[in-house]
Amino acid sequence: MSQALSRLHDAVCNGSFRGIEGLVQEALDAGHTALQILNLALAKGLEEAGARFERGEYFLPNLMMAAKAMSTAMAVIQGRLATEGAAQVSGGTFVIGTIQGDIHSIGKEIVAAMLEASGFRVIDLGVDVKPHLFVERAVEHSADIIGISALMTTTMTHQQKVIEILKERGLRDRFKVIVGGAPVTASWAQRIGADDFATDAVSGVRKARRFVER
Amino acid sequence: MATLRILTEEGVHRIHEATLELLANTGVKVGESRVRQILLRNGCRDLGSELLGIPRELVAETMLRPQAPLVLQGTDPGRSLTLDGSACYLQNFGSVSVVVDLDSGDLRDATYRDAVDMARLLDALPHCHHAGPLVLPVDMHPRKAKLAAAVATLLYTGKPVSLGAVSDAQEAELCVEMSRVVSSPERPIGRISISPISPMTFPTDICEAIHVAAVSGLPLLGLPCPIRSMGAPLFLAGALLGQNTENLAFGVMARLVNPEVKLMHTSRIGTPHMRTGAKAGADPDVGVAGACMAQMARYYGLPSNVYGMDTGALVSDAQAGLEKAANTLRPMLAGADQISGLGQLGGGLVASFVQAVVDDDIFSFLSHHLQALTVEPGTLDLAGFRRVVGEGESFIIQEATLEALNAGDVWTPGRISAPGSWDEWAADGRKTAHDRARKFARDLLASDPVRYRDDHQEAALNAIVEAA
Ligand code: B12
Repeated sequence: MSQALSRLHDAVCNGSFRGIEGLVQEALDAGHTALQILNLALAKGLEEAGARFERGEYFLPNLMMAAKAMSTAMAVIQGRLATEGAAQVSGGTFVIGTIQGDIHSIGKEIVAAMLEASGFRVIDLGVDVKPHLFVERAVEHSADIIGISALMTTTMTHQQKVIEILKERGLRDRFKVIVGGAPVTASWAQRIGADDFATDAVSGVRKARRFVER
Repeated sequence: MATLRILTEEGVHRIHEATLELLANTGVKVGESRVRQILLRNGCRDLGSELLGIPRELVAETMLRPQAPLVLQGTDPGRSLTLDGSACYLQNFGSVSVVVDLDSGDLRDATYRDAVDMARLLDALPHCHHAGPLVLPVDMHPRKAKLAAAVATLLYTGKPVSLGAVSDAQEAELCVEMSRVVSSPERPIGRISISPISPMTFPTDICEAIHVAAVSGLPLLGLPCPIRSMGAPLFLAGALLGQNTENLAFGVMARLVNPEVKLMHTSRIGTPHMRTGAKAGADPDVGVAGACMAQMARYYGLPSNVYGMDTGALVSDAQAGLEKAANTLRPMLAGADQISGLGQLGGGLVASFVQAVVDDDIFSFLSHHLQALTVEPGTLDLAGFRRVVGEGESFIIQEATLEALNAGDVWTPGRISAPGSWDEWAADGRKTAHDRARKFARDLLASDPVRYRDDHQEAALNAIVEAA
């Protein structure tokens, strides 16, 4: 690996997102294509960060900073990737949001960042999202998975509505549905017919990966 | 009666100075609302993107003046609390929709019946000095559930009460209406809690709720809940700064609406699991943060209300006992006026009758640490020594022994304490602290309920819930 690429790899792995645009530019100036930068430096760097996290060497902020470094660098080469005709490599598309009536955003944002870090294209719908919007955005973005966050037992019930709408519109088989949030349980997920559930980001991402790898 | 200080004077001052700097120059996000207009009229600077800079002078004018001791009125006047720094009081946790079933020990959704039962239990626990809706029922419409839980509290306790946390003007108005049903002009009953969003965000609905609540004149609890590394820095000092700044911003807003409004300074700092990002449970910093915010509260001449009786434990076990006791003791010694958390488990996601009884006992035990030790001739009891050593009497028959007992010099074992000997314990079926706590809760709930409102008041309260 050239020096420029290895610096970029390390920057992503170490989560050094500030100024990473400059390193991308250096790699481009050194004659690397956007695809080389993505595959040899960025993706590998993020993979290494993920491995360190799995081994317990990294904390959550290490991983989230690596994800931030990745997305900052990607923004620089996005345009070139398209002109180079490279197909967007993605681990799948994940539509995520906090359900109607609920404004708890923190957990959902962690999950979104971790998903991005593990290669998902993430469409974050924000908080207080109406059930039908989950369905419509998932269709619009050809998502693989819909993730619904609820932090209150009082708003959890709306998670069920998303699944009902999917069924009504004959779309239930098109998407996997993962429900999440501190009060969500296995029996709740089962009762409402979700495909899976998670009460922390790490297991959530692991479960999401399993769905797209199948 | 603070005996413990974690922050040095310099530390308190630095947090205060940084707070003024944040408020003035970084600013606070304030959604379009009556409160925003009032802030602008009072010299706050529009920094763009909803941010308002609150100038130092305005903070000084509104917040750096002493507040008369806050009296939280109970329906039983004897149970009213005066928060003047002379004592530390316990209150329950709030708004939990999952309970540990008293009979099966399993988790299940909370019902209105649980809200009533919990209110009765809180009323009966001597060290739960302030009661609020611990349980949020799920067997009714969410909009009604919050109010119904507050009504259950009002019906079944004579202690000072929290009417719960409100998120918009309408909820605030309904709480004020409920308070009116049970209050007299000289004895307003009920406290309202309102949470902005950390960091430094006061959306329109929250601002309107603050307006309504402040106008009502009821005591207010501004409850920012900064989660470290997300809503505030991970450094505990930085998290304290976030909490302090949001508390003061809340105070400025409320005091501009109503200069007479009674406030409390709070600590609700949470720490997520830094490897999984899972929900905030309880770690030693809960106690440290509570102690520090109690110090900050004194700096502002405000009573404090902090987390402490919290645990991440899922059942009433040793972990629960350790975390709750350790995190309550520090703020208690640092002079906190109120400590929150009675009855919660699982980082606040579970409510437990048994744990409520246990927590009451823990608090009784810890409170004894606050007892002032008086060293004077009477308590040294030289005369007693003379009579015992010189004249062959026994200490137990000395008048001073009774005096000491009456003065509360000795802690009396609580409800969950084991009987004195192994034999006694074995003969009694080897019951655990958990068994004893459960028996107390069961016996209490099997007895006739004590009601604190007449039929007319009850009908009026129920009508407010129905109208929601
Ligand atoms: C911080 C907080 C707030 C902040 C939110 C700030 C924000 N920007 O999000 C504020 C102060 C604004 C707030 C407001 C309220 N809150 Co609140 N809040 C909390 C608190 C203390 C922590 C939540 C948190 O951020 N945890 C840290 C993150 C990292 O963990 P997490 O959210 O659980 O997320 C992880 C997992 O759950 C999972 N996950 C989450 N979502 C998803 C989604 C998917 C797809 C997957 C796979 C995984 C996943 O992964 C995440 C990372 O590991 C909880 C208590 C608790 N123990 O959860 C109460 C809590 C959730 N709140 C509660 C309440 C009642 C409220 C209010 C109604 C109070 C009020 N009236 O003011 C309002 C609600 C307003 C509304 N309409 O939503 C209750 C809910 C009770 C219930 N009925 O179930 C709780 C449980 C506290 C309590 N017992 O009283 N709150």
